[in-house]
Amino acid sequence: MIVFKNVKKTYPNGTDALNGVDIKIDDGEFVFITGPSGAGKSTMIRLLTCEDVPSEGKLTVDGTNLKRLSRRQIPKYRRKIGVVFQDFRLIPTLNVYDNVAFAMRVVGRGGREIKERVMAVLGIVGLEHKVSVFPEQLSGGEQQRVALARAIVNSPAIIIADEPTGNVDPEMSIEIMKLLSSINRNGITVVVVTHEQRLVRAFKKREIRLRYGKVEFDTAHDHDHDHKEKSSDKKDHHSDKEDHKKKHSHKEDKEDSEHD
Amino acid sequence: MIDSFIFLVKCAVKSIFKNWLLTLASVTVLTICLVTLGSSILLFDNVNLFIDEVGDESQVVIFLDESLTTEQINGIHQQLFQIQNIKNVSYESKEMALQNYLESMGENASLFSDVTSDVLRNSFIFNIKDLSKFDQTMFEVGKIEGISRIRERREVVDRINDISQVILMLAFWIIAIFIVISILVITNTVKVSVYSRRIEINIMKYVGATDAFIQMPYFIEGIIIGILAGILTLFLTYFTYTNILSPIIYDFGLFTPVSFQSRFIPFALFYIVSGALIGMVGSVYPVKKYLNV
Repeated sequence: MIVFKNVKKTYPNGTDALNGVDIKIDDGEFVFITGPSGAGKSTMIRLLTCEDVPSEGKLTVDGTNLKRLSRRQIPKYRRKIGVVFQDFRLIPTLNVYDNVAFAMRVVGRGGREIKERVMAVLGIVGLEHKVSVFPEQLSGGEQQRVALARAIVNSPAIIIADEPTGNVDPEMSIEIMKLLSSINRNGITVVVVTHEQRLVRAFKKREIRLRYGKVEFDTAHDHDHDHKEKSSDKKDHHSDKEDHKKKHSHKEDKEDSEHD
Repeated sequence: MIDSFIFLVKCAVKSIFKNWLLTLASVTVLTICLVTLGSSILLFDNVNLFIDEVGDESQVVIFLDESLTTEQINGIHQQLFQIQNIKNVSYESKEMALQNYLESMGENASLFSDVTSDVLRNSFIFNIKDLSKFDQTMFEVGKIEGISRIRERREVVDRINDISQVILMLAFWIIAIFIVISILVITNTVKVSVYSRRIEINIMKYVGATDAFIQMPYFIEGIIIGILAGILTLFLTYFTYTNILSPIIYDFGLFTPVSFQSRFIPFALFYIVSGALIGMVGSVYPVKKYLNV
């Protein structure tokens, strides 16, 4: 669970990037963070990835107060999160396989485990046939899928995607979002920072809109808003359960009537 | 763990080849530094050897009181033995001194046929081990009772000490300057390497690599540069000293120069370890800058 409690962030030049943000993101949620430039989206990511600490307030991830993490504890925390960037940040000298394997090697994983896991995640993103290809030979969408594979290869609990569709064509944007949704269906919390309202509307997930460093609206709380679903997947899950219950009770009714 | 280590070594080796021109520059400068360092040590060893060989010039003779008994003379002998910085202590009775003197006169010895040993004194002759502690040693010798006079060549000792000091100071500054230059050049090489891999470092940080893990390839790169320079220095020094310098010193006929062969292993270890250490130190700073992510 990610909890921002009255988080404020003021940079040394006096800019108030976040000005008392209160957000709670449950485990397994899919959340869009939107807002205009300068709203504080990047600062939120910087705080979540421990690149920076809040000036005031409390930011906890799975009960860990990020402000209190020592320099030595940060790498351990970061292994819990996978980050996807707008500019992909792939290593140009490594092929697809090695770019993904790299993330496992740097955390000290072994050879066989790396091979199995890398091939598995490349399968998830649909690039298992491009293991030997170098980033420059891939399209923007494919590069972002490699970046996504790298982000999930260490089985993180949270995926943070900073404008993941910013450098890909509209069709591929949908594909990337679908991939993120399928990752989310496996129980991974996904936080997507985007300015593309088209995607937000299309995927009907929880949206937290920032403005001037504050939460302008949060569809989880603002029930009047169009995007009031907290998590469509959760809802789907609930409705599945309800359907199951209904079916079950219908079956019971039927059985009862038969008994009768 | 082994996989990770192999991965780190591969990263370091790749970087060395990728920035080969800078690596070459680093190895060259570090080699110059280590050659200077090794040459200074060899020079110092040879100077010490030379001092030992001219040690007779620093020989000390103490003349004893005429009134001393054999037991008292033995007592002085014991006291001299107890002084740490003294070597080659020998007793010369006045009879022996006369005989030696006459022998040194050769054909003219007959001119002194009337001279008896009574004009001479019993004495002890010894050498000083470490000339830099000459004054301190002579102060201790002076405390022994029963000595009537001491003959020493203080000006020679002072001169030798002065030369040693100058050589030591020169060697120290030359070595210090070269170490600083080597560290700076290696720092620059690693800096270029770090800059070209800043994206990798950034990704490493995001996926949870520890600072130590990120620094490791650059440490290894620095160490490899150091070891290469160490090996190069070893062979350079060996061949120049054994085939050029040593024969020249020998031809001068002053003294037999120290042998490099007998010190090959200590020198090899010294060069390689110093090279690796300088390489490591040079690689610390440039990575630190990019770790603050």
